[in-house]
Amino acid sequence: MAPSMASYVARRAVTAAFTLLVATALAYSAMLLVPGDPARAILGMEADPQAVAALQRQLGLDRPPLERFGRWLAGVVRGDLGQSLRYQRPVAELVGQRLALTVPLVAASLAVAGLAALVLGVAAATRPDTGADLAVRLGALVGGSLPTFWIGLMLILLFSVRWGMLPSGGFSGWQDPLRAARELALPVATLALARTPLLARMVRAGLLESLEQPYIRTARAKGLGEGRVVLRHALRNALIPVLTVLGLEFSQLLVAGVVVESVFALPGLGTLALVAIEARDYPLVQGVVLVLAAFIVAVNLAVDLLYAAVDPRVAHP
Amino acid sequence: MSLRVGATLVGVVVAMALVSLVYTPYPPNATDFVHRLAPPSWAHPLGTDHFGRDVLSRIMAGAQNAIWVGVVAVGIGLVAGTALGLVSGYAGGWWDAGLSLVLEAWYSFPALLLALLLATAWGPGVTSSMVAVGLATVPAFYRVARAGVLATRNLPYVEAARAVGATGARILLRHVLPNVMPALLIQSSFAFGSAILAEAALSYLGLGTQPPHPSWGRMLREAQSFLALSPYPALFSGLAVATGVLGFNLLGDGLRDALDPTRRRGR
Repeated sequence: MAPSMASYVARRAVTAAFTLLVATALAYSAMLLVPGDPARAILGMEADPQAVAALQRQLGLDRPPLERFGRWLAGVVRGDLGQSLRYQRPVAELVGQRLALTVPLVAASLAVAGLAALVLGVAAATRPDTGADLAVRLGALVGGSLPTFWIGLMLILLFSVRWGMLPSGGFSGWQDPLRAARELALPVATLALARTPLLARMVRAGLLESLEQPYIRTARAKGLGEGRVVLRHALRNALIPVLTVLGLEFSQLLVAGVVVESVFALPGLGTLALVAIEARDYPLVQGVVLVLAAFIVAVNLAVDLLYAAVDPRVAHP
Repeated sequence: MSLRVGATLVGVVVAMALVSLVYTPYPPNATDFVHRLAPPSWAHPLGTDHFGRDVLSRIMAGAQNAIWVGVVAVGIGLVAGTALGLVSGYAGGWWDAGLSLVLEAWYSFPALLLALLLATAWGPGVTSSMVAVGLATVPAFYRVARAGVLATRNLPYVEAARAVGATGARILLRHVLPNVMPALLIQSSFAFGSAILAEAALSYLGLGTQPPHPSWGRMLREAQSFLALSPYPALFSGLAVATGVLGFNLLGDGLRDALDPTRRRGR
């Protein structure tokens, strides 16, 4: 690795670690914002004082805030996110179970959206001002303004209520892959439909720009077929900026996934967070938020490093 | 083009909110159990919901909620983000490096996660969702303001102001801020659109506006259970959200084209 590349990697890793620390502090400080005594807020005003005192001890409320944060942080580093108040089980275990649904859901949606955006973007850029082009431009405009959960509702309306083709919600596990695929078809379609338009516009813009470059003229002058020019020469450079937004897309999808899980009643991280909020299960909310934030930081770091590997100008300005 | 369409759509939403203060076809919370889940008709142009409440009246009243949430959220982001950005860009050095690092970290923390935390701490409600959405827009305003300071701080007229002994605060407020205003205005329009979208999502999840107060997101949540009986409440409240968000996004695009002639269009 060249020295400037190494220093770039080091710089990005430090920023990522710092971001994670800020996220941890934010997740933790939520408990400090609770007006009054969190233990009493959870158990109610009529609660037995001994039960309140016991819960205060369990939450660590009998110690100063900074010491509590230190203890919590030390636990987090060891993978111990505390104990859920509602489920009386380790938060890490509960979050882990839910990740088994949320991560495949987000990954599948990103894959579908990426593939669709690639096809639409290439179609739009190679035939400017035709139907495909106008559809991508209009779709990006309107698609970016539609609430994701509304797209989900409309898909339920068409595919479940009207045509009865797909289930309107619920998830029965991965044991039966075919059934799981049917149950996840609408959620994945919802998330993909929400993110495709903007990605397609980026592919289109990048491709239009790189098709104007001199090396494309050279490739054409060499007598290469147009398909080869577009796919092998132009698209490669056009995809670099798209790569950078994939990290952002992933975090957007993760967040949109929270809402979409609620639309389709899927047992993922998002619905877990909502149950935790309802039950005032602070350790569980903090755990979910922290894990989501950690995912976002990790994916952004990975994308930045990948970007530097693909485009040497990043690490060698 | 996008300026005009955007301004029109925003105008429709603002007009709905203002008119609903003095007039709605029916009281937004008035139930009518005889006409539950009615399709659009002359009496109820957008139909009725599962309590027989008039959907048009509720969408009009929901516009108030959307505008109010947008104003507060964008206000928080605009004031805090701009102040931090101006100080960071003008002071430079360690201040700038430190603030930039924190705000970068903040930027990757989605509004929804902040909202989850605040809803846990303060209980779900319109206050915690407005504050969460507002806090999430701070970094975007910070970037715009900081970039504006960096672009102007060494221009001759700023140096002239410094040479005649103007204080840092005076230079920032009287000489730098006016130059950053157009960019902040554009950013505000986009932030307003995202605030409406985010509040709708939070209300849909039950973390934002609480019943029976009409909010577009809440209406969508309630409509979902009756989707098989009547699609209209879900259809129209979703379109209301889309109109507001699209309006502010187009307005932002239009303002950018109008105020920043160096940007190329159509890409």
